Amino acid sequence: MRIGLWLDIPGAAIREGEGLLRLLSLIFKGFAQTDHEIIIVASADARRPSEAWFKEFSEGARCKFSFVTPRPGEYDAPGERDLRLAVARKLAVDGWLAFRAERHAMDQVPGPWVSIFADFILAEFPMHFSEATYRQLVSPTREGVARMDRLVCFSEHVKQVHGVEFFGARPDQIRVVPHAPFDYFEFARLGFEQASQALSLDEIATADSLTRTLAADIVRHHIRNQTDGYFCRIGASHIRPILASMAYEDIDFVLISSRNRPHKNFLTAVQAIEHLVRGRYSAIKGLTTSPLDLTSDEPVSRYLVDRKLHQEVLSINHLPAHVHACLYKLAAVTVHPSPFEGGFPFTFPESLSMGTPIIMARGPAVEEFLTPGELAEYCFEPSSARDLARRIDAAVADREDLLAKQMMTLDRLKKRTWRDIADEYVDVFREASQVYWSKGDLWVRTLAADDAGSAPGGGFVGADSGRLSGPNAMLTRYLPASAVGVFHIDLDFEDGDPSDLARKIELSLGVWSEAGLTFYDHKHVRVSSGLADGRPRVSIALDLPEKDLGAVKELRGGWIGEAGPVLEQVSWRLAAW
Amino acid sequence: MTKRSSSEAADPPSTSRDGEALATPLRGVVIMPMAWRGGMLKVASQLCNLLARHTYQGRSIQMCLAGNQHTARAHFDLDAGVSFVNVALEPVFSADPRLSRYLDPAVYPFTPTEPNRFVSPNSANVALFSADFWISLTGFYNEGPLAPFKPYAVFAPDFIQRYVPEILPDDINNYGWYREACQIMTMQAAKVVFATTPKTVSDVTAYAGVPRDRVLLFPLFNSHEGGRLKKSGVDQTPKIASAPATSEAADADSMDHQWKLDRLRKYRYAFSPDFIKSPYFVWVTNTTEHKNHLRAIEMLASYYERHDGALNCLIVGPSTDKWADSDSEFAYIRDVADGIAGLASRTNKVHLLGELPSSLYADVLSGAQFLWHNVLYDNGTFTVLEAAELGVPSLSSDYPQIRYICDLYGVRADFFDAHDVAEGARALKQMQERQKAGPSDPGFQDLKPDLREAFDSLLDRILAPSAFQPVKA
Repeated sequence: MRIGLWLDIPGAAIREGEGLLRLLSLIFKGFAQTDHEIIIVASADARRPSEAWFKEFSEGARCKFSFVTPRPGEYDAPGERDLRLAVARKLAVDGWLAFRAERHAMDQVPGPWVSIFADFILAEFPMHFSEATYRQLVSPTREGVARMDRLVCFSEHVKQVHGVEFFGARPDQIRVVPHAPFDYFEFARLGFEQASQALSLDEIATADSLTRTLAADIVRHHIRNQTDGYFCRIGASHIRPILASMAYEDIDFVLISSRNRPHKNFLTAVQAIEHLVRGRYSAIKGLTTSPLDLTSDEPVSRYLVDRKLHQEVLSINHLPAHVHACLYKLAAVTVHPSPFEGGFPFTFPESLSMGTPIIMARGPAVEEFLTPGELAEYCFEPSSARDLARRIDAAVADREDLLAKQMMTLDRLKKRTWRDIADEYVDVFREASQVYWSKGDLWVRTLAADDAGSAPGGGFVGADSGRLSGPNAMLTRYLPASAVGVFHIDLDFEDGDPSDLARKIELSLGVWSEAGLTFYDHKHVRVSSGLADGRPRVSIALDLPEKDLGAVKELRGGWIGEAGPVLEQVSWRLAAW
Repeated sequence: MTKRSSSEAADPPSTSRDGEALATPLRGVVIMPMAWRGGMLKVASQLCNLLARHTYQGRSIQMCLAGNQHTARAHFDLDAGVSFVNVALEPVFSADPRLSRYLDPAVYPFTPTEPNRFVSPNSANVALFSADFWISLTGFYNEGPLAPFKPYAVFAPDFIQRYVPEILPDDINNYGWYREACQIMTMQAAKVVFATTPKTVSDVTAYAGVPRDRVLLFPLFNSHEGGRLKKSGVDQTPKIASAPATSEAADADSMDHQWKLDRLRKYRYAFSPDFIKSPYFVWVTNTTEHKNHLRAIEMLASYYERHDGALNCLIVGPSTDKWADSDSEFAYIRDVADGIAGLASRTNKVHLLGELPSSLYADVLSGAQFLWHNVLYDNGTFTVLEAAELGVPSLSSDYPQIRYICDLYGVRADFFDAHDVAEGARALKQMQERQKAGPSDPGFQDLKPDLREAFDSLLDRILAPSAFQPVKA
């Protein structure tokens, strides 16, 4: 199957480390040993920032990955502003994957569309966003959800509460594909290889061979050479010199691996640390991967400044995966303070695969995947800084106990792999095609391969209908990559003289490849006309040369020259085998 | 100088004390980043004096105390042979080539803009630049970390700003914030950081991020040697009536009796010695502990009003006279003053004695049921030890340093959580009941810490050769 990814993230956000990129990377790693093909369409400014991310899953994979961006001046419709659309339309895929339920691309690019629907935060925390934001986001998402052929969620909670109840989606429209755990060391292996070279070390082969000293050296080295990322200013200088020399391997710190967004409950974690340091004189520190701007008016920054916690909760952000993994390794315990996530939090396998236990907030995400016993052991009451402080204290004192229990949970969760998830996505795309095909009245559509074809030798049969009217009207059909062999097109008209219609309609089969568009001549195209069930039918058979099997195909047709009859209803059937 | 024996060859004169021919003496400087006049100045002087008496690998040590002109006017005791140098600190830009030869990139991974400057003693200062090592008392430099022209150690007294955040000003742009960051940078780049309690040692790593193997636990060299409390010995009844509460405590002893009484009459409280005759406890404090005074007042209120507290409370300590004046320009002093005045008038059991000369303080303390020590945090004061030496038990707030000091000196004290008003009040009541049952002996074993090993260890670290050698121009 050939799947297109509509990567609608600007270059700047990719640099920021958008969480969804991590998810996509994991999904694509699941695809790595399959025979499918993934094409990523993105804007030109996203190419450079995406390089490292792209390498994560594409290097050494059997699955074919490509990254396509528009070239300057590339467009195919007059007035087209989003050049990616032009690129996307030329690609013959079996379906498109979006990570947001939005109409923009879906309306312009043919094919079954599957959207990831991670969550809709406003359904859970309406007051965390302004009224204007609420209005801005709800109706487009509602429309997007309504139109998407299929949606993918990571938990029953999101499917039910956000998808079905909030947006009124049909239950069968949403498929739940829960996350699988992953080994963060393996995920970051490439980064570790590069770091070993940069620091002239022996290659770090396994998570065990990564010692605390080594991990700390990697963190310090990264901070010294970091060109992006945000460092707080205190007085005349950034805090970077302090972070660049800090003895992470000797400090018991709590890692808050979370972005500081209003609904993420960051403040509770800060208060727990404050309580431990000042109330209990505990020798711990807080470290977070979230950027912190002490000059901003945002509540957590204000709290840090008012309570003078600026040296107690330090921010080391914009980290590549391997440096992030080192921080997990060095931490005494990880805290995931956010009570809500779309799926089971990634921080759980990230932390555990680096040998560090994790304390999570109780909420729908964890409640769906953990047993009651596990919930009682691993999770704190999200509103209680005291509860969290108590648990942090216990975890720092006896790390191994919590770690051992959580490793057993991880073993249980490991029964599910990202390969399983890739297979599930393929399944979702199959469903999406069927849904797509059952919709009528679309001008521009993509044909999808349907394995249950009835043509001889296997193949596919699909049908759709639409209107064809006006001079030089175009109908464009993109034939899927998997369509091979002879194409048989039947155009059924309401009325008219069959041979007259056959003369006036022109159909051409073009093949898009690296060299451009090549049209087949009459040698390959046979047109016949006649009556079928009393209605005029024009039939076209196209013989596709062997060399073009598997290439991108485009079928165009329309009335040529003079203004043709206006037809209200035309139906056609495209069969290929 | 001692005489040379005639059998020796004509050596250059030595400064030996033992009569042996010595290698050239080591020269060290203790640098005070700020113009302290009280406890920190005493620590600085003691360090100089103790090091000057030490011999390191057969070499004597010539010490020098570097302060500024404000320090010069203060009162401190330096041994003969230990000099005081008036030094100005000036900024040096990180890109300055004079400095760059000394910046080991492994230790100073800074770009020229972060930090963009260091702080150095004025380069005309011969004493500092002919020294073999520096010891910086804290790293509180305003404009940048200490420039590493010489190998240096940092003495960390405590990290009070970590536990009593009110000490830092509210405005993030105030120099106090950057000064604290400079302390951390100075410590991270020091050859060794040393502190006198395990908690502070742990904080040097946990708070300032210094690797553990570069932090040293030092014996309590700044013990109350020479400052032991002695009772007046003249009369066993505390001479409260004749004792003024003045801020010039050093001169108080020599003041005229009548003059003292005259001064007393300026204060708000009718000063009658009668309350001394009923059982009392002593709350010793000073004005720098900020919020915990207010909690202490709440604890006292609760003790008297809800627990029927029977004991009088005498408030003593340096600068506490300020609380007698409720028209102070400082809001927090007014708040505390009002609180005390309110308590005093409501209960008639709370009395502010203010700052007492030490012998009088000893008299007052030795007659007390117990000592109440209510600080949120410090590096462990000797108040509790002084009381124990006089046979008076203590009720102290619970923080790691005070526990350490009590353990070290074999003192058994009672502890309570200084953040918890209800617990504090209950603890007072419990102490009262306990003492009613009969006097208890807090215990006290004096310590004479052997500093030789500690100083050797310290100097080993400071003077250890490093892989990076400053490039000689």
